[in-house]
This record gives sequence, C-alpha cells and structure tokens, in this order.
Amino acid sequence: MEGYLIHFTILIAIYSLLTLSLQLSIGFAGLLNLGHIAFYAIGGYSSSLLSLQGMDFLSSILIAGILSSFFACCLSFPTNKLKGDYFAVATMGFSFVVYEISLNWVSLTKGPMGLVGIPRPDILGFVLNQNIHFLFLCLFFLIFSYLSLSLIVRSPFGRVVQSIRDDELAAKILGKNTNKVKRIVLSVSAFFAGIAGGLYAHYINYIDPDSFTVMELIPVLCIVIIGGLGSLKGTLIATFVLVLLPEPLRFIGFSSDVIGPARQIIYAVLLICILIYRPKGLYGRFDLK
Amino acid sequence: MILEIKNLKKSFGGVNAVNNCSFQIEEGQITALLGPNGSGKTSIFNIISGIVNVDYGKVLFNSADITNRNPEDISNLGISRLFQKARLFENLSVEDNLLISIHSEDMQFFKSLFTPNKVFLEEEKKINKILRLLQIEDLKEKFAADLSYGQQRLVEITRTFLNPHSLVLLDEPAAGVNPKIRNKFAKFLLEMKNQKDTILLIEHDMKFTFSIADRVIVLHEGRVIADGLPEEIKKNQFVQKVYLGEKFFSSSS
Repeated sequence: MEGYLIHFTILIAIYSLLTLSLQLSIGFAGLLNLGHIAFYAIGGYSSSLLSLQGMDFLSSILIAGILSSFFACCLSFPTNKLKGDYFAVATMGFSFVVYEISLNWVSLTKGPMGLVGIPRPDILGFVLNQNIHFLFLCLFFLIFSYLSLSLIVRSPFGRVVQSIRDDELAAKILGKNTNKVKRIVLSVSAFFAGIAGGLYAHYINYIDPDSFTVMELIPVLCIVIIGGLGSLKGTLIATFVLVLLPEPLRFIGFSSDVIGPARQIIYAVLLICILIYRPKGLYGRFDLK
Repeated sequence: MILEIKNLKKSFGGVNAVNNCSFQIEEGQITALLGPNGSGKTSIFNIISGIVNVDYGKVLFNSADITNRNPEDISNLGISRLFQKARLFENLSVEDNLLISIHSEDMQFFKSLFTPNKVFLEEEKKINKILRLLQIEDLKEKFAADLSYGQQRLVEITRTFLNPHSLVLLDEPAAGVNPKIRNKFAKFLLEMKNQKDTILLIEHDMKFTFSIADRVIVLHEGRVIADGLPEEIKKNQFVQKVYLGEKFFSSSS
C-alpha cells in the first residue's frame, strides 16, 4: 500500500508539472497550445537519449528542458500571428510532427520499440533507486515550477501576459511587443513540460511514441479547464483530484482494461458537468471564451 | 507640426476608404476629425497607429517617417490611442490596466521577476492625479469587467493618457456615455490641453466637439473637404450639405 501511494504521488507530481505549465500558456496568455505534449515528448526523449549516452541526470534533464524550450521558441515564430483556434490547430500539427518523427527516426528513437533501460537518476553519485527518493526529486521540481510560475504571473511581466489573453491589440497599442511576450511564455511553458517528460522517462525507465500522442493531452487539458483558467492553485488541486478519481475502481476489483476507458468516461462527464454548472472551473475567474 | 499625413490612400476591396488624404496636426491643440460614417476617419486612425498598412502615402510623426510600422513601435514613439469600442483588459483590475499602460519595464522578463512588483511612487502619483481629475479613484480595485460602460470609457481614457505620449488619438470618446460623463470628458480634455497635450479627436457629438476643438478637419469619401477654425467650419456650406445638415447652421448661428 505504501509503495502504491508513493507511486501515485510521483505520478501526480509529474502530471502537475505538465498541467501547471500548460495553465501558463492557456489560462494566462490565452494561447490554446495543443503542442504541449510534443514538448513533453522532446523532454522525455532528449533526457533519455542523453542519459543512455552516459550523461549525468541533472545535466541531461536540464538540457531536455532547454531543448523543449528552444523548439517552443522556434514554433512561436510561424504561429505568432495566429489566434485562438488557428493557433490550436497549428500547435496540434506540431504534436503530430513530433510524434511521427519519434515513430520513424528509428536510428535515434528506436521507433515503435521505444527506448528501454533508461537509467534511474543519479545525483552526485547517489542513485535514486528507491521510489521514495524519486518522489522527493519530483516534489522538488514541482515546488520549483510552482514558485517560478507564480512569480512570473504576479510580476509586471505576468500582467502583460494576461493583458494579451484579454485583448492583444490593446496591449500592442500600449507599446507591448506581444510577440516577444508570447515567445517567452511558450518557451517557459515548454521548459517545464520538458522537465516533466524527462522525469517520466527516468521513472518508468521506458518510453515509446505512444506515450506522447495528442490523445494523452486531453486529460491534461481537462484538468487545466476544470481547475479554472488563470489559477495555479486550482490546477494543482484539479490534478490531484482527477488523477485520484478513477483509482477507487481498482480497489472495487475492476481490471486495468476497464480502468483506462473508465478514466476517460469520468473525465468527459466531469468536464461536461463543469462546463454546464461551473464554467469558470474550480478557482478560475473567467470562462473559456 | 507634430503629425503630417501626406497623400494617404487605402482601399478595402473596391472601396476607397482613404483617398489621397493630406493634413497636418499642430502641437498643443485639440484637432477634431469630422465626417459622415464611412468617410475614412477610423481608417486614418488605424493607419497612424500602425494597425492597417497604407497602399500609398506617408505618415510623418515629429518629422520621422512612421508609415507601416508596428503598432507597438508607434506607441513607443509617443502616439497613444483610444479605440471606438471599449477595449479594457477585462479580467484585470482597473489598477493593473493602468499600470500596464504606464510601466515600461515590464517587457524585461528577468528584471521584472526579481524587482518586486511594487508600484513606484512616481507612477502611483501620476495615476492618482488623473483618477482624481476624472473623479474615479474608487474604481481602482475593481475588475474592469464589473464596470458600467461609462466607467469603462473613463478608465480607458485614463489608460490612454497614462501611456507615455506626445500625441493622443481619441476615437469617439463620448459616444454612448451619459451627459454627465461627457461633460467630465470635455473638462478633462481641456485640462490636458492646458498641460501641453496634443489631441486628435473623432466625435459625432457636435456640441461636445465644437466646445473643445481648436481646429476642425472634415472628411468626405476619404479626403479632406474642409480644414479650419470651428466657426468657419460651421458656416461652410458644403460641410453642412454632406455632414452637419442645414438645421445645424440655423440653430447654431
């Protein structure tokens, strides 16, 4: 039971990194970024490949974050002028591109077979073999990301980020270079997604392209909306609740083939209820426009 | 001369919104840009503020060519603008709306993170001064979405004047607000003029316009048909025919 709890908390922590960073781009900057899962993938693959080449954990996960950030920065140039749904479609396209690359660049990613034997993190010679140690590592990254993101959204820069969500042209007229702001937001958001991908890979010790399909983004997106747009606290609570919600099914004795689909049904029903009865989400101040 | 428009042309599809339009704006004056709907007033504002690119012609601001530059560059050069419709940042407080306008260091990511988000005394003083002039100090903590339309316009005007500028473009500031607020606007604009602000104004409320304007430019079908002192414009027969209506002449003379 204790092992199960630890495993579970690790998953929540990794998931929170992903949802919090997506909240920055959707809830604060108003960028419906459906390419988020691609940054998670880039982080996962780069950190794994670097570690498999013998690089130490901290460097490889940091480089993974920076690489994700770099790709987000590149993606922001062609998508800067796109708004709303168009931006969403373009970024979703990026997810497909990354998925296809991970599937077909066999010499690098081993294609559909995936990367196996990704080592457990070792920090200054101390190998985190036990899950409880890994949990502390994840919590460290979670706290770091939560604090940095709240620092960003409360800063004067964060104010400009939110003004872009409300009315980008009005922000431009006040002299704000909104393209630069959006580029920074996407890069920061991708950095944490990359870290999350790296942590996931080092925890599960195996990744394949199917871990990073656009479908994997749907629950993340649900959590961001249910938590409430523009609320980091809401996102954290929603992640906890939503990852927890399908678990009792396991104890009632349902098999894991049922739990997967059941989880999707629960999320869908919950999302519909939230959109009808509480369109602002748990802690959000405004609804999805 | 602070702004010069030279032979501007802009068409949308087959419609010539601006058709060989030229005029100049003098410093320290309130200049009104009048004309019937569709005469190209807002298009000219959009061209000056960089939202729309021109087909032909030039915009000179303080003798520098600013034609077809980005809205943010033009704003940073010193042209502040109010839109025809309310465009506040609805999910931010009134104070945040104003701080975005006045604060110029918020674009520096790291500096912005590590200098605490305090309101610098000087900025707060400037904000309070304008809020006091318009008598809306009590709105500061409210969310912009919770304000009435008139209040939103007041906050927007404040935001437009707080944005560092040497020229202000106002697109129908008094449309849709009650007479009390309209009077507040008129007083406020005159006060700003006394503080050496230059204002270019589009407005359909003639009483409001003629009570504050130093000079009036009338547009029709994308070009200037009259340019002069308010009294001259009132008497101009062509202007009466296409825009003011003949009654205006008989009632105001």
